Amino acid sequence: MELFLGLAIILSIVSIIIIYNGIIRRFNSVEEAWSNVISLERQKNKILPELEKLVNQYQDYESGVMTQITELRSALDKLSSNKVDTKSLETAHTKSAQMMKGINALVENYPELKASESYTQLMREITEQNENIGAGLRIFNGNAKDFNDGIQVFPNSLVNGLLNKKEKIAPFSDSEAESGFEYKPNF
Amino acid sequence: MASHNEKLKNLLVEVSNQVELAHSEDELLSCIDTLEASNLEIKFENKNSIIYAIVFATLGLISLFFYSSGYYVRSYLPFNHDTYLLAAIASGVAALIALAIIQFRKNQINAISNLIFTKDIYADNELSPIKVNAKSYARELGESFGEFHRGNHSREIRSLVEGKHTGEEHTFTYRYYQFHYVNKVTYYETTSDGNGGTRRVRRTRYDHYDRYGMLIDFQLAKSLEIVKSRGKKMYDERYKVASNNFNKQFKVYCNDPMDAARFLKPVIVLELESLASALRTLNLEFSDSGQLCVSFHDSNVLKSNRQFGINQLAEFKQEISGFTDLPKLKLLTESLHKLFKYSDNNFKD
Repeated sequence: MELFLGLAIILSIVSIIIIYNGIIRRFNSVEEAWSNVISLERQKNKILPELEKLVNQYQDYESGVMTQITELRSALDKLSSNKVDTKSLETAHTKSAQMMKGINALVENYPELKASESYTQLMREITEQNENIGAGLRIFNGNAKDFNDGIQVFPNSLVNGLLNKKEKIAPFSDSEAESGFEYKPNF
Repeated sequence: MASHNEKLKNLLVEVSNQVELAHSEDELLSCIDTLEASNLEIKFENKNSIIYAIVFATLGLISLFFYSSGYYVRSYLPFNHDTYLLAAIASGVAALIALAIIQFRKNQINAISNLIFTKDIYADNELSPIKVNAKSYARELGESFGEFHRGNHSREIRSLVEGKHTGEEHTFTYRYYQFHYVNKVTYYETTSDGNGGTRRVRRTRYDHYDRYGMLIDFQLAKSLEIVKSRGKKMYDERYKVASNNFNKQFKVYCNDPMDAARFLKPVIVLELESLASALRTLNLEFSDSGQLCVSFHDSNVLKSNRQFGINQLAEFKQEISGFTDLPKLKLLTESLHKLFKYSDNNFKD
């Protein structure tokens, strides 16, 4: 009897450790996916010098775009992959959208710019970057779902309530993705 | 005068040779025209064979009945008891031969239909078969890819087909292969020794397997394995991506995790997750020299369902005239195109 009781206690402790570590692992993977999204956003820094070079030719007429590029660079500098700061990310995304609007207006006025190889290359790079950010967010959503399932099912919910004390992470909806980073993860 | 079957047999041999030499759709259609021009019904006359099969099967059953009958019946029979057994066996074999002839004739028609259809698929999808030394080519591929180390008895490339994919941004040629390998398994079985005891007998079994895949030049990633089940360990370093789903499906091994991280961008991760749901046991191996081998278990990438055959000439001709799509090939090549697209440098001249 005592042996069975002892075995049951050991089994329970091992199960609790496994569940506890599982929740931590899934939470870390959500954080990793989120920090990937941030680093993808920061990769926009790579294309800014090229954009500047391109826009520089029209600086006399379109200095507004140069200001927008500078503002975006400053917003990207404020992003930190170590700290979840959705406010900064939101600002960076807004600046990015404003800059794209400025560039679109510029190419409408200068068709030779639209036809240039540099512009095509830059737009391809920006499109791929945005596709990667979209894919990064889908991965984040997948991991968030895994995490949420992992803290809601029994007996994980019990272990989480007593030990991990983690809250459910709201997934990023598509409409939010389309309208920019209005989403605020609650971790 | 030659019988219908004789004429049809000669016609099929002639058309079969014509199909062997055909490469384009027009040449394949002219093979069908040859069949049409003969005015023969593309169907063997099997009436005699069916009669023989029925007669011999009946004789066999009667002989078997007499053989298994009791002493009382047997005493009235004119022949020796064992003669009936021999008669039953002989009649059975004769009936089976008659049925085999019918089946053989049917297969002959199907084989030509299949050959025309396969060649048409190749023509439609601009694929051309390549002849290689089956064993030495598998050995050569084994120097770069762990995939070709499967099987402890024999390995060979059973078929190789070359194709070209022209995408929006990249064009690449690929080689689609069928890899056949054999595992020799030695095991012991306990059997009766005939004296009421048992003995252990050493037996050998040969398990045959096939895997399929595609080889392409891919200089944008090197020394990397993204595998569900790898043939042989080529690289030691483990790498994990941020996606839980991807990590559940694949294991990533590489020389340098930085290279793996650079290649496995989120869009590529999602693309491979999606490709893995379409192809069973998907592996991607990037060799040191910039070759990519995508391997999987699915045998139907270059296959499609044939609706008609040469026994329905008009319909078959229409089928051959149309375009035969290969959805899995399209999916695979489009996925590979995405690997190029998202790995290249957009600012390169």
